[in-house]
Amino acid sequence: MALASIKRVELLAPKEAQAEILARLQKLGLVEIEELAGESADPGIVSQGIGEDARFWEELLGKLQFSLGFLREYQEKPGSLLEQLASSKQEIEATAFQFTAEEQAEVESLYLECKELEAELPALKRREEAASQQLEILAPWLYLETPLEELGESKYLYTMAAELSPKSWERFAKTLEQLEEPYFIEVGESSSRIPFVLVASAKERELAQKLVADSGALIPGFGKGRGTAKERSEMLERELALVQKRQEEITALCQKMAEEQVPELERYVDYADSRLERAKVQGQLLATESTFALGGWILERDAQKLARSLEELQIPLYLNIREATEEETPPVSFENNRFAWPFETVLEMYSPPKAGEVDPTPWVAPFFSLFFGIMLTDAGYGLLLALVAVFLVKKVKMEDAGQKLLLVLFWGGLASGVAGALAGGWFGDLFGLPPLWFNPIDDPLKMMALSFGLGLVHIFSGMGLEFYDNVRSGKVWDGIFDQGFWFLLILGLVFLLLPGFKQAGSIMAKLGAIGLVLTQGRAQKNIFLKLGAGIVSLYNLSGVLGDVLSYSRLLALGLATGVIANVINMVAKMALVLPYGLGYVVMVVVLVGGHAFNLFINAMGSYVHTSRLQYVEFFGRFFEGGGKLFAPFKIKQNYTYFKEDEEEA
Amino acid sequence: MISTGIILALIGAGLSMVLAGVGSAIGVSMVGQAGSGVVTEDPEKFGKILVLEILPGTQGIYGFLISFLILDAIGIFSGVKAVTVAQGWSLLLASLPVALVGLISAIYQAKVAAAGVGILAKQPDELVKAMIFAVMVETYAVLALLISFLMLQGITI
Repeated sequence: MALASIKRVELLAPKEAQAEILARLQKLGLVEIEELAGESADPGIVSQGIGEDARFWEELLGKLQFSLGFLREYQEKPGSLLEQLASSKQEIEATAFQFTAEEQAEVESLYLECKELEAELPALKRREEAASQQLEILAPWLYLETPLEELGESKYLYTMAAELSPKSWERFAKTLEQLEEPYFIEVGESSSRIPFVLVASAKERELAQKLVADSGALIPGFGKGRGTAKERSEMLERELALVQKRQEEITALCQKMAEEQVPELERYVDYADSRLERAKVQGQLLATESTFALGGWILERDAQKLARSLEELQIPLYLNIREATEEETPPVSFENNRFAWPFETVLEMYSPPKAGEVDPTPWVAPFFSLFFGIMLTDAGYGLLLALVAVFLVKKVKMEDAGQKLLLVLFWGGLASGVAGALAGGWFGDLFGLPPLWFNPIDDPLKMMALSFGLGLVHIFSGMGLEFYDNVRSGKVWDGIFDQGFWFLLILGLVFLLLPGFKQAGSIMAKLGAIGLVLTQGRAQKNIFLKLGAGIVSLYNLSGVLGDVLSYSRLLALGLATGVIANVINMVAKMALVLPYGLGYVVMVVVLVGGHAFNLFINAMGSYVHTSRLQYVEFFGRFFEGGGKLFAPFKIKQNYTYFKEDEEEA
Repeated sequence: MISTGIILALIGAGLSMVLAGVGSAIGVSMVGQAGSGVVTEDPEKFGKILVLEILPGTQGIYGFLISFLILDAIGIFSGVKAVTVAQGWSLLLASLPVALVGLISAIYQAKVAAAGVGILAKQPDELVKAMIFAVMVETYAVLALLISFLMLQGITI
């Protein structure tokens, strides 16, 4: 069976040993703990709820994650793509997985430091922006020897500074003649605008203001401060240098802190996370004054290990491991061989099987590989994909999910290697290798028939699995009526199409159809309804037909890969007409880029279309799903992993 | 030499590229816009959203494919062949399935994929489910490609 057998765990123990036992269970990571609350009406038995402990660890975890997130920005990024792909988990000794009071104090002070630095940075940024903005405003006025705060009204004079575009200058100069009292204008070095200072009599202040405003001149905002533009600029430069120096200091400090603290913080985060998890589990236990009770699930093969490990604690306790009852729904856990294992990801993306259901993974594995291979149908692409996948799996340490996906691509790639060799596709027709069997581009109808044939085999396996499920649960007749007759009818119709089998096909199809008409209405009470429902059920044939036709995508996507590859080769060869050997360069660029693009697009297309064939055409025949994956209570390790030998100990 | 047959074939080649290409361009841009909204909030989802964005792009490739095969059939790359009016019409008709279904399915697929971006915004691990929804629409573009291809196979020049 491809689903592991899961047993119910019941544990009763003295309350004072609760912390120790939970710690042990978490370290073992074998038991999924299920909430027990509400199972008893006895007022002496209560749910423990989530205690002070959980709040403590939650707060600490929050602080740790903040510090880690802040410092991570300053961490040196790994250089090569490969290193970035690799999960950066650090290896630690199991004994190093702890947290002393001293370390806790350190963490608190680090948190405060990070918090302060985080608040300082935006303030520095604002100062920097304000200073550089002011510098920009002052730039045209550096020639002016008057302190800027002296501009404006004095006893006899009114002084104002403005910038005007050269286009409007002449007209503005003319309007100044309206001033009756003598005036003085000092013009600075013009760039895109002409900066000028107008000194007029205080009596004519309003007129002067109006003239300047009407000219469309820009009046700069010098803000508060003392001294000439030059003096002010120098001061701002100093401020800017100061701010930048402080920013550099902070960056350097943070980089140093990141280098020193990030690995430690990661360890602490994992530890605090695990402790929080443990504290939360407490809420799922029941307790009396002196004992506590725990309920959960364990894989049958781990039961002995759990019993032995708890014995070592030398605590008087009651441990019962038994079969699940009818009312209980155990979680499910996959158990597959090395070939089928990666294809669990296809199931996980859909829905894990319900408890007690057949796990379709061992059937999904060969069909998925085969269909993926046919949709890609290129030996060059397939082998390249398989090589890259196996290289990444070997070289890069990663999560199970990533490994599964890569291994699915590996098997799919191998299948594509075979399919491509049979069809003569090696990077399209790049090398002109002949097909070992036939090329679907030359004989698409043959390939289409093959696709439909494979589709039928796939659909029949789905029906077979449902038949098996029926037989297993004692409903042999349901199996014969619902799957057997359909099988007979469809196979009969297929035989009708083959020369030489016409007679046999006709008999089989008729038998199947009669069987269906007689049995498909058996849930109805009235004899006419029985017959009516039986006849209506034959319409499901159109559904089967539609499903079979859906497998024509095997041909279509395979063709798309092959023809696009040929087009790329053709375009690349066209480049050879270019002179001076330039043609070869262009050809190589087109070949490499084109085939990489084609491989990426079509591998992705093959993956999703193959998934669809599994989910809709295959699973639709038999699979229910809706199971919950077994998730044991264990130490959380987002950033760390224990040395292998320590884990076994 | 340019005959009416050649012109009809060229119209067919143009239609399959233009219509399917326009459909894909509209589709990809729709998903890209929806995706940009999510990426502003969460730049790490870029890779996953890119995968969804590419999905309605395949119709353009199918259109290109048929267009290229038509051009190859009339010998654009190796010296133009003599094409009768009937042959020209046949080639034009062969381009229509992928052209029309490509145009429309790319846009509708993009709507599904853009909704899929919404799935990713809230459930980052459900990429495959979002993809499967979008691929349901693509089925018909694949079938249209197949029919266009089979029609082309049947036309000898």
